[in-house]
Amino acid sequence: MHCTQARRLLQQGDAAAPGDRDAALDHLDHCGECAALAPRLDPVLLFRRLPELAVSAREVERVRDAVSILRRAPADPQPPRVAGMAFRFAAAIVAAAGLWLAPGPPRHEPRPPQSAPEARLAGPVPLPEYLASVETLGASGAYVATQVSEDDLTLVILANVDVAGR
Amino acid sequence: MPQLAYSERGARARWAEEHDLALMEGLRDGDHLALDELITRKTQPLLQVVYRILGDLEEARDVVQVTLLRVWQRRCEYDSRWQPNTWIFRIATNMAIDTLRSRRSRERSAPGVLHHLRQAGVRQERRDGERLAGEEVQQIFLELAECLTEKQRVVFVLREIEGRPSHEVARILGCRESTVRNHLFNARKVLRDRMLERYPEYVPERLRV
Repeated sequence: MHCTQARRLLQQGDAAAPGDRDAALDHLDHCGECAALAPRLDPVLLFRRLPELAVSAREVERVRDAVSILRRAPADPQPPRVAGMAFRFAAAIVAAAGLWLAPGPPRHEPRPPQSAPEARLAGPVPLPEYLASVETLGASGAYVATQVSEDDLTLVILANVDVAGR
Repeated sequence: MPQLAYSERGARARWAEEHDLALMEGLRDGDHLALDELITRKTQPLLQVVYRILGDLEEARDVVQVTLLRVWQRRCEYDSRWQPNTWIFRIATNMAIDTLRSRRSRERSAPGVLHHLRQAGVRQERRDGERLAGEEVQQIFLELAECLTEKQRVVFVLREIEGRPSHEVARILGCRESTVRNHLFNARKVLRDRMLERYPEYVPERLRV
């Protein structure tokens, strides 16, 4: 293939027939001038010849050692496998037998209506001696309290069991 | 004078002269020296391809090690109708695709941060200045290749960068040549679009419009 023809095909990009494009790419491997020009014809050709990855002898040695170690390592113990189909078949038979032998559907005796749960609000929590109640906050059972003996006012909200206001 | 019945050095030297197919036969017989020779020959090409697919040298090293281990473990499954390279690269690219998928699935949980870190890394690389143009192009490729699907990436690396023929790429991936061409077409389109977006200076003026 001539340089002119190869360049024309490369410039066509994906519009060129695959076989023609392959031939044009092969031409790049043998023609340095076209290879240098190629990215200007088709920008993706910039990646065509990336630099080779340098791999040292030490790197190869490391891989060899790693493979050797992995090769000698005992394989992971596999969990004992139950023969899948046989196990499923047996399980299906047991389940079917269970359904067949079981007495009819359980009868549900009507339960007596349950009484509503007793209110758990047992009243306010008793305050320690050093605190005096200042204010009760509505029906929530919470308090605002203050210290009796000190000057500093301390506000403490004491909640009883349920502060949701039941 | 007594003669050595077996010399490891001699056996190694003998394997070094054999072609790949003979090495695979040696492997099948359980000869670990044949494996050592195979590792010597294939580490560089495998590492290069897997690195270009993954864009991470450490991950690529792990994949190459496990690939060569798999080659040993599955040596009895090797069919001599396959080219040794095709068979080995098939194992490697499948593993690379799996690694890429699991990495992408991990990254989906924190895409913004990871993308930012990667971009910052690339920018830092570029600031290093005295780098060869080829390495810069490689960094650009690794950045843009993030936009490709796993299969597109593998096909592009094998076909366009490594220059392997389409029929071999198809065998490595276990698909038809037309599928390879399709992946390649899409990969090239995505890369061209992304180049135009991020690196217009590399795109010819007539294509920038």
